[in-house]
Amino acid sequence: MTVPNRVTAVLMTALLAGPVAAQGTAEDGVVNFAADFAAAPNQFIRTDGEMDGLNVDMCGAVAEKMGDEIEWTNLAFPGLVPGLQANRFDAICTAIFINPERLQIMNMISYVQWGEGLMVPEGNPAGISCEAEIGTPESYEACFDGLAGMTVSVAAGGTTNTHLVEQSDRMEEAGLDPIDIRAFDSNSETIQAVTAGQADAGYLNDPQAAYFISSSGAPFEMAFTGFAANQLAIATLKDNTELADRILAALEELRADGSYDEIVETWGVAAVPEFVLNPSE
Amino acid sequence: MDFSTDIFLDYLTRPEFLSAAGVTLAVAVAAQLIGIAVGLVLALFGMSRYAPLRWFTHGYIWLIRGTPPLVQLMLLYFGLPQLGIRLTVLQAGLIGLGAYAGAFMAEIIRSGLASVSSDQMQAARSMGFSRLQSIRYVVMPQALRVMLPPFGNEFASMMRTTSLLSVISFEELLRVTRMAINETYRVIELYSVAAVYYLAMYSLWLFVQAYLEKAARRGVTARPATAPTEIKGAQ
Repeated sequence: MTVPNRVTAVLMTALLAGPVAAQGTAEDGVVNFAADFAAAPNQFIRTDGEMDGLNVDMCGAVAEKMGDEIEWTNLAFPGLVPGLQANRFDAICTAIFINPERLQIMNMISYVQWGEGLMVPEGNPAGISCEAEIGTPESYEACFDGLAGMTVSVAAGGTTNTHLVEQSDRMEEAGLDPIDIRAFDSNSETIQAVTAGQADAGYLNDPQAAYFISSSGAPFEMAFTGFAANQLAIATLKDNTELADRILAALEELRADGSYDEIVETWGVAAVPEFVLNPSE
Repeated sequence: MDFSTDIFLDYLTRPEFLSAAGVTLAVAVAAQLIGIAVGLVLALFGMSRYAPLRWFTHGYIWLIRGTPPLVQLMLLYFGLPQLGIRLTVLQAGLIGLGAYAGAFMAEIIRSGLASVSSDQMQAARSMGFSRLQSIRYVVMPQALRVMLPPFGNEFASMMRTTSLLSVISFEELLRVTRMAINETYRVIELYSVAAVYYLAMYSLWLFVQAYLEKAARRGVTARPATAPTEIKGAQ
């Protein structure tokens, strides 16, 4: 499925003639973003050939705020950072986490968070709710407590699995019923268990669950999102601080006029409390 | 990361591995018993004078042998709820593996019965036995000996086929092994533990099979048609 895309991407890189002398400065009027378009729901090519996804919307809006034309380069993920270093494009706008190694070579602007969330049938019949606050794991406990004795599907062996077991153990110690955890081999089976009614809820990475809900129109909703969240970033080269500052300013404007929240809502990812340039871990 | 004997021995004796192995063995036995019952019915249907019953057997074997057991399990667990039938993980697992084993058992039972000389059937019929009685009291006891070795192979492979059940979230031996690997990253040690458990179960079965074969030989005087006859010297 993604192979042809990746192959094209690799071929494209091989065929690209020489580095593009782009700086993404205000004078250029063009900003060139790169992403791996084989990663729904972050960015992907729709069946009608159009680009779509969280980052297409987000960086499209950023470019618009900067008053620039946007151009996209589609490249397999491993080629993104080397491509940026080779000046083939101005910035990376893909699902890339912030870590110390990357901060040494890139300016990274935190703009959304990926967390873990709970997919429940529409209307949330079990009434799972809590005053969830991203970054405060304790604030989610009431939501997990609501799952006592219920069947919850999860992808086996991932962090979601680990966290769910931890919460279930905590609940048992507190005298509640544990969660009946059903671990499946992949995300799609985890979701399938909920849609087939074999599980009361599914515990997944929230963008994937939200994307499933929005793309399928299935009668489900997210009871909560953003547990154990990690920040994603838009990145420029270390010496291209001008573009980094312009992106940061554009994001602030997007938040001010409400379109940031709209985009985040559409794609089911968690917002960041503030946009930070090079947040130290 | 050299092989750590400590980790290997630690996990070898962990209760979660022991119970997973126990559960795996229990499911294999239960599914195989279902398979024998299904296979017997199918084999008898296949020998029936009524064409629709024979077609049923052919259709069943065609369907089950022509699709991977993984797909069958998926359809049972995830697909049936769309028809309003919601199976538990254990139900879907037992029905799926039992139905799968049934198709193979049918073939083993059929060829076992066919290996007994048709004279035996005719003799039994002429003594006033019905068709079913003849099979039950005369043909089947002789056919059992021929069936046991391929049945042994079937059950040995069933013990390994149970690992498919992890796709419907059943925590069998291989799933428990993978979960432990996810936590420790000790791949070689933990797969070695799994291998020891699978081998132990298989070895246990070899003893049982040897005992069954010995029991089947006792008191059976008739020789199946496939047994070698004495070779006479040149005349």
